[in-house]
Amino acid sequence: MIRAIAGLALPILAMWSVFRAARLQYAAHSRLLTLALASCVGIGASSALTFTTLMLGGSLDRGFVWRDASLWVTVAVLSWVVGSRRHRLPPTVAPFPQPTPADWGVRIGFLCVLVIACAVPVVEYLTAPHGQWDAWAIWNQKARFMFRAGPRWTDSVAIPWSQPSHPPLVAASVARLWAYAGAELTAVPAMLSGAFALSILAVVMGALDLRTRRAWVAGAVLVAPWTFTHLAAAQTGDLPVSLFFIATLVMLPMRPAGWRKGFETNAALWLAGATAALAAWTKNEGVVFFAAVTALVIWSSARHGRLGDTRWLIIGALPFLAALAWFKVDVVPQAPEYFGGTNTLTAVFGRLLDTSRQAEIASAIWPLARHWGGPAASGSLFVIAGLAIGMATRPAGRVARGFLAVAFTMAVGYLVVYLLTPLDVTWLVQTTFERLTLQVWPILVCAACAPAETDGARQA
Amino acid sequence: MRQARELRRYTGVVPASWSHTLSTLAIVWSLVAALSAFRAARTQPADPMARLEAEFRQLVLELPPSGVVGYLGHYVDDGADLAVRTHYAAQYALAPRVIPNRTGTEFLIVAAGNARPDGDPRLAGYVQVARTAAGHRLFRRFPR
Repeated sequence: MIRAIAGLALPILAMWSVFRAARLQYAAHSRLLTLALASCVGIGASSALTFTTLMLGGSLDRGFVWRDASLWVTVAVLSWVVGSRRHRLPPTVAPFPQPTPADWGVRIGFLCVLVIACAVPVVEYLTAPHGQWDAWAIWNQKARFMFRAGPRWTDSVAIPWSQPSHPPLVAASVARLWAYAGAELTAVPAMLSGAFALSILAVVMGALDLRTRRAWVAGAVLVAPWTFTHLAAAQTGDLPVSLFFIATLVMLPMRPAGWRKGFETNAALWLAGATAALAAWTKNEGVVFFAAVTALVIWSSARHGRLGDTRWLIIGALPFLAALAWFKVDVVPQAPEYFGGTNTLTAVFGRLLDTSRQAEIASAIWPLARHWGGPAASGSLFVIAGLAIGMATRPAGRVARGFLAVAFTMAVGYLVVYLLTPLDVTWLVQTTFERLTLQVWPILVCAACAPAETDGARQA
Repeated sequence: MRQARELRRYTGVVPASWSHTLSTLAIVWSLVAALSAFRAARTQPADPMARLEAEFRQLVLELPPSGVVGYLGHYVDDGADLAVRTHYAAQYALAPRVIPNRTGTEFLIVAAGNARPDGDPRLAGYVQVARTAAGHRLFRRFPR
């Protein structure tokens, strides 16, 4: 297990070191956020390299582990040396009032929530070490094919329930860590799932600025619902895609000026491009997200007469988009199974405009939405969404508006899938609504707690 | 006073006293929700996957290292949750073999209780080559 932990830490530390050398850490205003972003890019890059190894005919054996570890150590050392030689910029920490007793009370309350929330995945792991249904039917199963069969892992696309069209970030990451561990430890995907959950928390709290009370409140609200901690134990692809969604949004330059101190816009766009493409490299929903984010950046850049800035988003995204294209062309060239039978415009519009289907979806969603979050959290989705909308409708709610625009696009995307699918739509809603909503939950929490932009900050 | 109200409307910043109350409410709600989540997690039934996986793993030595291995669906309700879960468990345990729910392959896995007790015509031409303690069986069809 220690070797698996080392395997997880190596690319994260290497990316941290690369960020330092390239001064990308100034794109984020907090070390916690930088660490979370290094986790995103490190895990994503290592999964893409694992996929490349398998596609080139390699296996995840000892040789792979040595090559992989050597690569990350080399990257870390070289970038550390380069970073140390470069002129260091002075820290750009804005003065902030000392925490009050009320702030400390909130922080202690958050820690209590966090301890309890961390206990949930541990308890669930003890009762379900292989994760939830989708973990052993889809993600860990693909990882087993990769670990056991090497280049013949593509045989797994013949298994219809394994959702072959979903990209392999999660499976490749699990298989890679199994290779480090030298065995298929059930603790490995559980640890990875926990790392994704903690990274989401770090992104949200780091983005909202740990020195503010809102960051601690947002952290507590984020992890409290059972849906969150239950999916942290699930070992599925929904939590990582949720991480990449929120990591992208907090890096976009629509952030208020107070969040931009000391950062370079291009670097932030580069990171946003990388994490948005990683969302697409994790699950098919990520492709919709990437399109929505690209549209938002183009619109925002064009408004400020800086359309050329968009290229940094694309540059950051390119390596992972290339891996995704390779996967979609070479491994799974067919459309996702939930789009079956929609190959003509008549069929598409017929399903989209089918009122009985719309009513069926609405009646299936309503009770799930009301009780989303689990026990004692019923209604939390409406409360947080209402607060986020409230923030967005304020004149200074620019951040919340940007976040909600993307969340709304994602919701429309999910709805379109529900309308188009040839599968039993009530069953599909009942089995997916909870986790699809979790994908945008951190966005809603962040939007609800986002700082408003004052006149002074706007001028800054 | 009016200016402060205007700024508040513009920024959405609530007065300090409200901020304390809202923060406290949010933290208390989070504590209650987290505790409820913990209780819910403790009442989760044990997942049978670990047991099923271990049962099917006993057939590994009798199977080819890769390729397609058939699986005999349940003779009555093949779409039931338990039947589906058992089939998926076989696939999960025996990867990288691909285990579709069909006969006609050289090797055929018959999970405990899936074949008709009084003789299943779908097993015609197959010979049982292994049986696990849990009752899962492996059949093989030899070339004539």
